[in-house]
Amino acid sequence: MSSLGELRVLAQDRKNARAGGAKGTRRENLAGYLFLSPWIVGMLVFTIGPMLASLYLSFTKYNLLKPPQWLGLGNYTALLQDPVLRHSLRVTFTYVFVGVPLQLAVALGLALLLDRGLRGMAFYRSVFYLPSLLGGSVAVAILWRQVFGKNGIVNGALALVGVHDAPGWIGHPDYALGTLIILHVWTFGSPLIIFLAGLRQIPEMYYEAAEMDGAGKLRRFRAITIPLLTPIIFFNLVLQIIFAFQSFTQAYIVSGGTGGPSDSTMFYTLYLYRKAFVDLQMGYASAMAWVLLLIIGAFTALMFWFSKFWVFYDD
Amino acid sequence: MLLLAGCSSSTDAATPTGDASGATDAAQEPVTLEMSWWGNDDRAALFDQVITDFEAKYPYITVTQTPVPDPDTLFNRLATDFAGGGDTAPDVFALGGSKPQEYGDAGALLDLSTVADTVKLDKYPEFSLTNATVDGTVYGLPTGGNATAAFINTDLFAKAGVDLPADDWTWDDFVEAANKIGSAGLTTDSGAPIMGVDLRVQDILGTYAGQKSEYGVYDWDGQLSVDPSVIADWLQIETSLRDGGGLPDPSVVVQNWNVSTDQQPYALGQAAITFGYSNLIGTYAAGGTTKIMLPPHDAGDSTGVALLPSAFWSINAHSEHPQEAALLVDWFLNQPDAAALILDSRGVPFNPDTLAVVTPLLEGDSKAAAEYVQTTLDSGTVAPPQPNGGANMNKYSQDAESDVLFDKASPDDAAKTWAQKLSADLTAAG
Repeated sequence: MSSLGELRVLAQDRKNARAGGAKGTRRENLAGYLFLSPWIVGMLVFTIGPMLASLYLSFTKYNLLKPPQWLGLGNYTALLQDPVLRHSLRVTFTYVFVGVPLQLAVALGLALLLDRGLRGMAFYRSVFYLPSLLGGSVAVAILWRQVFGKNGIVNGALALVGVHDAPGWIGHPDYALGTLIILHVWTFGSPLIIFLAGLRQIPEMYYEAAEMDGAGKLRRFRAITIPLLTPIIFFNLVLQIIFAFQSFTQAYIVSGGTGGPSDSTMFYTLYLYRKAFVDLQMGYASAMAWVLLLIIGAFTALMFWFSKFWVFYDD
Repeated sequence: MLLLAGCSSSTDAATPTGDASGATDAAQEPVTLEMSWWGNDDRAALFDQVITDFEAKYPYITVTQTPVPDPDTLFNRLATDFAGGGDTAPDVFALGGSKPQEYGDAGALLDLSTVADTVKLDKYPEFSLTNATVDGTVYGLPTGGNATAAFINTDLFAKAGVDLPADDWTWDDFVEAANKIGSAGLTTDSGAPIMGVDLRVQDILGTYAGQKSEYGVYDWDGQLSVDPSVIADWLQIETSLRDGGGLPDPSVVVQNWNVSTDQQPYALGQAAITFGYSNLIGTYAAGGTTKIMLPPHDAGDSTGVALLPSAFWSINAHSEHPQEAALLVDWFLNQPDAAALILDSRGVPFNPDTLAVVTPLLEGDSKAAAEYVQTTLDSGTVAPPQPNGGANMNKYSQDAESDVLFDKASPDDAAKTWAQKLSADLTAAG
């Protein structure tokens, strides 16, 4: 049965139920909520509850061991004057606004290559998706330490082309963040899959018509592919920016939890973690978490507002 | 075995249960204790043995171990447990750093004088309890002591044609030797370059501060005691090492900050000198014939070497079985059967009776380390404990080091920043 047909049956059932009186509806609603309850309970207990608790804690001084002391806005005013926090924001913004566009560019480029209907397509898709699954993991972050270390394969490759005194990239304050950005770019798999799906949605007839009018490859890409893909680009952009702001594992593992060298990999989330679990300033860390939420919310809202000007919905 | 919630905590008030496990003396109600600590598989195997013996001696007690790989994992768990009231925390657990102070102050730990009949405190030298004492109350017992030492790979000194340092070597001697070996162009058999010194700033800066200032980094009130100029002097030493070839490329120094001990260049035979705690001698000796000696110290200065407890055993204040928990702590620290198994793997024992059991059983490198610790006991200093707010000191030292080695800041500026950040933390916590 098609999904439309199913919907029709459901609608019919509802009509019958309504004819049968309010009792049936209520029973049906109850059943619905019952089926939803695992999710609702999980949401209340594991998401809403902790969120409210952290909102409360963000107004207190709390070291886990002694009961929280009310501070009012104290944590938030302290945030404004914290130089390390400002620095961690700079690091995080660099990571997000360099890493995400590069990652999406690589994802789009590969999606275009893969969209030509190669043989063994499913295989390539899986292979390119792998880094997305692994990129945020501890194992890969540890691997990254080796790859970009003084005696890693990157320097091994450089030695082959005659560069012998390259530094250890993860140990150098000027380059450590760069290696993390490369790690982020490498996790292009999930936007790639979404781009591929988006490319498949573009009707072939547009290209055929354009070709008949004499449009070259580049022109077709600029005039058809890109405009029709903008909703997908937008979707990937929003999603990846939200993810990137919350990146933690890579910086934590690569810097050994310190954000070093010289705080060059001190992500906002890593600083938050250190405030909470090294300094035991849970109240301050909670306030930081809420500020991060506001920052991400503000950027998402901004992107939605800007999307009016460049995202093209074909309907 | 079931944990009998709410059953009596006193051993002599127990009622016979008819359970076969109470076959020895008076039948006891079964008791389950949870014990948590950090360490590797070797330690797990060792502690299994110790606990098997303990359970054989006290058949009514079952000990469940919950080992974790590193201290932070345990501290994060304990912080969560005690935030929830402490009922879920282990009965007995290991603590280190400033944790005995923090938890003791917060009322999370059992006052050990309440179980002094079971676990003897009086044999422990007073200084060994400093880190676990809050307002005169003892909240933990040290597993043993380690002292910061210099390790010298005598093979590499010979290979580079550099004389072995004398016992009273100065910092200038140290820089000279490290620079000579580091710039000699030596490699290991597998082709890895050999560095003069495998340096982790956090392992030696405290000792250097102890030599150059009255108390070391902190004073007894938990405030910053060392003058920033001392830190600047240290950073100056590091630039001499960098420029003279004693240190490898700064990015390699940074890379080695957080490497596990057996992967450190010294332990791999790739460095002629390193600093670390005396109990690491076995690990370091893997890198070549190793001599343990006092760190460099300038004429007229103290050695700055403090004998530090490697960890403490503490008891949860909310434990339902404080007497049995105390028996367990006593078994690990004061009973000869356990001492003969544990030896010096948790530091050289502070309890002289335990030490008397352990000393004759030590051999080779362990013996050298124990003798070294003994000499620091005579000549060393007693350092004030790491206070609340000192948790970031190692990180700040690393920041200062990389700022200087990468020419992002002068030694003076980096030292000032170091002192500012650390004293801000201490003020915030105090």
